[in-house]
Amino acid sequence: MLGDRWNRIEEIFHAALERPLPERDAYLVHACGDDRTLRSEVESLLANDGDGGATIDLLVANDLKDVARASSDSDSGLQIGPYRLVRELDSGGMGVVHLAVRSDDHYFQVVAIKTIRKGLASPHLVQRFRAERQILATLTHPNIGAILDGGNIDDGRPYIVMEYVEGQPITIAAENRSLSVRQRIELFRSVCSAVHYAHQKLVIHRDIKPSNVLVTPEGIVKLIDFGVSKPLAPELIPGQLPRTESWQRFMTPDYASPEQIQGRELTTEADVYSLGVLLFELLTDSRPYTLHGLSPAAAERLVCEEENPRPSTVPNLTERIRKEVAGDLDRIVLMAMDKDPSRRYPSAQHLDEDLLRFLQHKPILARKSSSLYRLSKFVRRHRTASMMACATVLVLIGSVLFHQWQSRRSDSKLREVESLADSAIFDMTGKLQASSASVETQAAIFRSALKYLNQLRQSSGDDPRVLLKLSRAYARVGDLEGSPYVANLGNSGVALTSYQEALRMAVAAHSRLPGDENTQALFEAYERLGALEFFLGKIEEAHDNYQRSLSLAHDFWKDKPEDPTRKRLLAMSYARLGDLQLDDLETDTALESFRAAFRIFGTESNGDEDHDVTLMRLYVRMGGALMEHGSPQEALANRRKALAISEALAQKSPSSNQAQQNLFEAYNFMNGPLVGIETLSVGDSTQAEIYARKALDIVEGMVGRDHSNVWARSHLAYGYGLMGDALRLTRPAAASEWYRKALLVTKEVAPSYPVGSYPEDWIAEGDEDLAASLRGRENALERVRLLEDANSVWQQLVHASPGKPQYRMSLMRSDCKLSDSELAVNDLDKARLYADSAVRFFDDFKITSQSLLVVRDLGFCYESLGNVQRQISLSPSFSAARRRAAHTQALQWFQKSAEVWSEWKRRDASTPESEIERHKVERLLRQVKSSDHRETVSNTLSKEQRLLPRSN
Amino acid sequence: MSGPTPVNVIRKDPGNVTSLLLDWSKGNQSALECLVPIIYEELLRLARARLSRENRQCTLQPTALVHESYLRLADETKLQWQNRAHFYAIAANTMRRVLIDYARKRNAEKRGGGMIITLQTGMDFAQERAPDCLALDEALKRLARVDERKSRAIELKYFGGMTTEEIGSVLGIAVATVGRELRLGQAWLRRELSRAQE
Repeated sequence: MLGDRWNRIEEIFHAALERPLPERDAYLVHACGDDRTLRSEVESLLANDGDGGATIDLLVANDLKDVARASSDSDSGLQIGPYRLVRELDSGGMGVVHLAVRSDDHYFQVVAIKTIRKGLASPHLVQRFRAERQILATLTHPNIGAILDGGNIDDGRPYIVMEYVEGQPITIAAENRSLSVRQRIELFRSVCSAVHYAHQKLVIHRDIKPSNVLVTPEGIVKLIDFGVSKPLAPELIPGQLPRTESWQRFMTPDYASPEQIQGRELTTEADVYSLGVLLFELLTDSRPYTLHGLSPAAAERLVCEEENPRPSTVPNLTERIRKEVAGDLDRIVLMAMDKDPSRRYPSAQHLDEDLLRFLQHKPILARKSSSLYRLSKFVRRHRTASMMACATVLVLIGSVLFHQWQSRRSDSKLREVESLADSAIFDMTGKLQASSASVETQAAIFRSALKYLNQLRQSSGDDPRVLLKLSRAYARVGDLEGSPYVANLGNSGVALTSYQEALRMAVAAHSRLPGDENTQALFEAYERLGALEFFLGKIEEAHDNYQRSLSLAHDFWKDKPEDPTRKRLLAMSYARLGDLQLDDLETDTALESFRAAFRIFGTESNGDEDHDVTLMRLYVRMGGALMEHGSPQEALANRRKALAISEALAQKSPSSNQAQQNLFEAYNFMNGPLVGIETLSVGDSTQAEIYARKALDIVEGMVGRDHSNVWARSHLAYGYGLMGDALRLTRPAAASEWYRKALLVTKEVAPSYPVGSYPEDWIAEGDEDLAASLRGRENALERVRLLEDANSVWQQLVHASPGKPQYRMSLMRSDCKLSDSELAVNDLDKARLYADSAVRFFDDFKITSQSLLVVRDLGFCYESLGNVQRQISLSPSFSAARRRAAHTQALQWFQKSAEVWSEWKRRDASTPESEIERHKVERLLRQVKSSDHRETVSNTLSKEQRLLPRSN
Repeated sequence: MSGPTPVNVIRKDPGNVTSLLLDWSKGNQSALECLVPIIYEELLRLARARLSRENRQCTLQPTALVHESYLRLADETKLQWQNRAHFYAIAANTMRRVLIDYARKRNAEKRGGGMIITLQTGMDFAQERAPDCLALDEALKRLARVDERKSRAIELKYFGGMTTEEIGSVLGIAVATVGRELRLGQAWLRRELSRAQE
């Protein structure tokens, strides 16, 4: 409306209102004249006059009420501790970031607070959030948005208070400040440094993108929004079918690495990829690709298969920039963005350093890009929907199972490991370093994986193929959670669930389609569950599951007795049952099981690698059981057979790494019956040394050829240990040097382990070996320290796995060893404490046990107790009566010990070492019997000097 | 937790808002920018607090909120009545923004912009048809194109709860004029709103 016209309307309007109602019409006619529109305009306005603005009032008031109510549904306005949430800054899938204000008497502070969205706070999410909060609080870096505080809201939801970073996304900041290429790189390098810092703290960011990399007005780069509550894979909300583009809301797909898109395991390399994309954008002001509007399948294809463009080829670059970027910078960006994570920069620091080299005009590391982006092993086409979902589910954070060759100590570990190894994720490459996050985060992530699986199962119906895949998926998740090296996390309960689910799925799949694959899967599911149950001390259940798997395998085999796969399955079933029995110290029963395995599988090698390796391991098992049974010569014979098989295999394929590893295994297992297993070996140190050297040569050779061969480096420790064992009887001083080396290497390799799977028991045994080899007074204190360290490890393990007899035995024995060493330094009080501690376990173990390991340890322990009592009887600080009583007790203990060693004779199990022990104890007995309890302390030689073989 | 030096810390003194107001009246435009978020936050907080305290059935008066926020944020002893008027002007506008922000968000959700599409019940439909602050906001904007002063007067009254004197002082017009401005403005808006419904 023209101004004039409006003024007219206004005039007439007000004038009309001044007239009394009956006169208005007349006035209007007069005032408007012929102008119909004018008249209807004013009339309509007049018609709307009159409610004094009540309409508007009400409208505003209603809306205000809504606002207020909505504010209480959202958290805005909520008071959290000293902070008040003002408004939402950002919302991800599950977490919400609010701008918050702290306003009290002294400060007016603005922060950002992240919480879980109201209504989405499931217990597991809460736990995960909390766990990540813990880690993030440890990140203190000038380029990382700081965590200031944290806590829980009244309703139990955790929150994090973060530095409110006021700034612009790095890409925009660079534009606004007109930064040159070099300046942009410098800025970017701070980001790399921050990311690397986080990686060293085992935190992966997972969502590096410009809006998370802000530049403050002062020009400081701040990386914000670390993976708190970020889903690791496209998140499915329960009860909803995923919409085509919905998945993009929860990740920022343009920056996600191929493995993120595929839902694969994430490592620090994923962040390196995103850094690459960021650098691309920073240099060229455009992204390498955009996924907006694409379906998940198309996006995956684009990211995982399409070759990345070179930054210098982006259209619309100025000539000057193109020149600067082409060549080295191109290569750096492309290397960071390599589809294959193992071909990228191994760390953000490497990327940082290469950029520095570029700035200094030095040659860079990045390789010339290959034009071949064929299917790498990480890229797969033709995924069906269900498989994609399964892959999404298998979110495994660089987890590792370490193949522990514990056979030197007790062969049982072999079986434990083997059952896990067959199905486990064994990948010790540089990814070990990238194993992420803390114990709790891993646990939280496992639970997340389970949740996905459960959802998947609900939507998958009855298809046996899917059920099978699911079974495998559950099993894989369970493997990680439940492996003994990971189970310290306290995940075993969850692992149990996973395995039980796996079993359920496998049973279902099998019942619908009892084919080979499903039978095998079912078989494996029983085994896994059984192994874990045993580990957790649920012996009954473990036995049951193994029995079930055995009968399943048996029926399966009977159906086609000549089929090699079925034979193998049944033989392995017997073997695993035997392992269980051996672990449970039922040596004789185990022997039966192993014999059954041989009966099915046969005893001759046939040149087929799989077959022969299985056979080799059967012989190894047999050897172990025989040793425990008390037939060291036979044991040795079996182990020699195993060695022969592996030597044949190695001859066939001399350059095969696997063959070399098998050979190492075999040499390793020679050690036990020769000299390694205390009192159960034949005592041939010379031969042991030969094999130990051979084993060491293999691993040293591997390490020499390829320093990054992690298998070799970790097995180096075993090699050294073998040398130590070989020399322990004849040259203990030299042995102790080897043991020291072994411990050193183990500790070096340990950081590569995912948190929680540190090989503590290996270290404990190493400590004890070293202690045993250190003779003489001058080493007494060190001995005590080593034994104490070992002792606390055993205590932890007993606590963590109360059902496992081994750990209790080790603790019992450890207490006795400590008791002896305290006696050697004349600390009788401490010695008595340890002795008392050991006594607790005596009832658990019987001298009639099938396993000589038990009998042996009892023998040593009784002797130690005898020593303590004897010392009391000789110590003038006790009353005469007390000393007499101690004297009697000493006699009793020594007597018991002597009985133990005679038992060996009775079982025809004597070995040179056992005979030495027997003689020693019998001598002690005689001494005590004939001694007068008035003998003074000074006449008593230290036990060490008297009882151990003379050595240098 | 001890952490790095607190960031974004503005030392608060009772005269913070006050001094900002004074600043602004002296012509410092950026003072206005600082005021708005403080007031925004305060209004929201008060709305929420009010709602929980009072009977949920009764209507909330935005004007009451503005009054209260003024009392809480400003030190009356230091301000002239002109400053107060300015505060209310800003508060009125901020109040309007609060309501618009919310209404936009709410509408976005209803039209399925979010992940979750809920089935609309009959009641929802009815509500959607009723004019809300967005419609009012649109209407006010249209009014502003025709006659800016009236639009501001409405805003000051209905969002800011100002008296005719105060409105007069802010707009620089006589009280009687304020009355007339409001009356026509109201009528115009009402007409617009009912037309929008058709």
